[in-house]
Amino acid sequence: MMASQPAVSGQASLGVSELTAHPLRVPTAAPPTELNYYNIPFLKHPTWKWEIAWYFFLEGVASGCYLLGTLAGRLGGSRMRHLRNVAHEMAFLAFLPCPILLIKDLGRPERFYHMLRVFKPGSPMNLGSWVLSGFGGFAGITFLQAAGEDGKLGPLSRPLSRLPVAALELAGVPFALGMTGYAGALLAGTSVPIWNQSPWLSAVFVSGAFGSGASELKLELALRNQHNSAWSGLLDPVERGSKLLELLFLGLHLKRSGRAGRPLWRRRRGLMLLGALAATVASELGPGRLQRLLPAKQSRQAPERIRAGRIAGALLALGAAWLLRWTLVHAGGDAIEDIAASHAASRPSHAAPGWGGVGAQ
Amino acid sequence: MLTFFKSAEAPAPQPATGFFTDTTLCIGCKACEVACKQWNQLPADGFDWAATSYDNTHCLSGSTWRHVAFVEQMPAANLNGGHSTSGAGSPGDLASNGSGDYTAGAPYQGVTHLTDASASGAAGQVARWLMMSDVCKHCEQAPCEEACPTGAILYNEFHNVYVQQDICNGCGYCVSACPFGVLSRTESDGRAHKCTLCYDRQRDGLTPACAKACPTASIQFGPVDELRQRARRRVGELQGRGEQRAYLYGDQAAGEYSALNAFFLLTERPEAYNLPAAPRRPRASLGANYLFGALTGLALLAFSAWSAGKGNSGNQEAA
Ligand code: SF4
Ligand code: SF4
Repeated sequence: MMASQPAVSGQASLGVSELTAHPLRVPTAAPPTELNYYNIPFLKHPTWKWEIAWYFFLEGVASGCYLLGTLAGRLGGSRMRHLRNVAHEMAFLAFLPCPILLIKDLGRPERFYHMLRVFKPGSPMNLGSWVLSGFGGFAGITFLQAAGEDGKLGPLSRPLSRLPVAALELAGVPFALGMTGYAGALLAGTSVPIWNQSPWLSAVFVSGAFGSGASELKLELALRNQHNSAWSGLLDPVERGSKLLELLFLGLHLKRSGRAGRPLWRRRRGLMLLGALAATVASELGPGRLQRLLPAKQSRQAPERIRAGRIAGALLALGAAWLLRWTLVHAGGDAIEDIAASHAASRPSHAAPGWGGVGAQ
Repeated sequence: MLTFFKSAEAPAPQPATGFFTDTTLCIGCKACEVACKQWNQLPADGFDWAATSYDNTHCLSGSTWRHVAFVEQMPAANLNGGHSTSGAGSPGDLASNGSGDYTAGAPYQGVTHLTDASASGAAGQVARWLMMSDVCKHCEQAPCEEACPTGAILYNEFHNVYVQQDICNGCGYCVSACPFGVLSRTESDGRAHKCTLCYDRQRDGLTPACAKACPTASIQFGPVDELRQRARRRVGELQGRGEQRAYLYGDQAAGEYSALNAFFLLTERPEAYNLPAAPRRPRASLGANYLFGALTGLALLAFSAWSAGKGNSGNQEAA
């Protein structure tokens, strides 16, 4: 009876008592066939759509600006004071749409405050809700003071600029840091194969946030036609370093994800990733070269053209950051539809031997 | 605010309950699906058949809490790249069983009589219908419960994973967290739904509707410890009769993933039933993500601080 079992030969030698004693049997090699059930995904499509992609982008800008602004204010001396104020203005403005996007994304928006009915830091989304709420408070009050000092709040500017925010500004730093990174953990803490396979996703978002913050500040300063070498001395290296790290961590994430990460670099999504990469590289060309690529206008003076180049560079960098987040969020749906990749993400391994059973041998 | 949300006294814990679904006994009648829908007042799914099978519900979802899968393994399908039986076939067994010492009371063996090896054309291959009534696994450490930011998902006194519908705000995180694709957010009310293990019936001392309706005892309900013992005995029994492929899916923890309080007896690789062979515990990669994220953040913070300070000292020198 046992002799005619070529395909399950690994099991044939086990008697009944051994099987009941070891009901957990770990497959030793990759299964030989691709089984699947009528091409129906066994995971569910993530509910997140454009709202979350935009949220990830904006919360990166907001937290990045906040951190750079705080550092500039603390360590940069008087010449950085203006940069610090602009940064805190941008941080809060970028933060403002965030809660709206998140609430809109809910199935029951009127119950948004249920997010804060418990403190459950083990859930990245619950932790993120607390971090976001705290950050909003610190960014809001610092904004009032900074915008007041910048003279942007009309008659209220003067009294508001005297708000004692020094300690509050610092207290917001851990919250801003949490904002930079929890988005990656939020994605990693799911069963979606392109998100949950590596330890690097959070680092992608952290470095992306620093880069987006720097790019946003460069954009705003160029739009205001303000330039200062001290500011560039902070923003340029931070922007460049962060973008390099972001690409490095993304590469590590893709590498670690292996076959399970395939939906992230195939077809449409692959083109989008390439687009983000190209935009990042282009943004590094520098304003001089970029302005030459722009449609020429006879009337433009040299400083005006350099400014146009600066704006183009910052927009390219921000566009790359946005596109990467858009792709990461939307590829979640592709991932669950790629059934082979989904199974690849739950292949038995040492850490997760699964319940392969006889058929898996 | 906390008192506003304060819940009533928690009910006293009871022995953990669950399901043992023995797929070798399933005849695909869908009594469980219908009983579940009827008791829980869930909408019908229409008649969108999966290929040539009798499966019109396709998968578990917010509106389908029991789903009967119809795995049809036909030797011909092997030729056009459909469901392969390689790696699972043990034809000698089945042939000898078919002519052998089976009692009429073992429904699974009826299937093996449908096509014998010589008639199938592909030597050594027999057709198999593997019916399986799928359900929320009520994981002992459920990723959906760990993910839920509102605390809507909890373990009730029977250690069943339960979604409190008055708390859920439809964030959808549990939908992505479940490695078995059990939950979904329904359009009509924007909340996540899944099997409650008939919490309402259990509280009144009744058996869940699906187990009550199952005519072949393929779905067995009871205290999990008891079910596990019974299931292991059943595997031994099947093995003894020559069904070497029988094994338990989820009766105990496997690496990072916890045991399932609703577990299964299967005779084919998990993928054939649309189950992950080795589900990853979503929380498993969280710690490393937080760690590397934090390290990156601190490194960039230090680099930014250095850049900001450098500009400052440079300015002072220039000034
Ligand atoms: S199977 Fe999915 S929905 Fe059911 S308890 Fe486990 S994680 Fe939650
Ligand atoms: S959709 Fe509802 S049950 Fe699911 S995680 Fe969100 S709040 Fe919890």
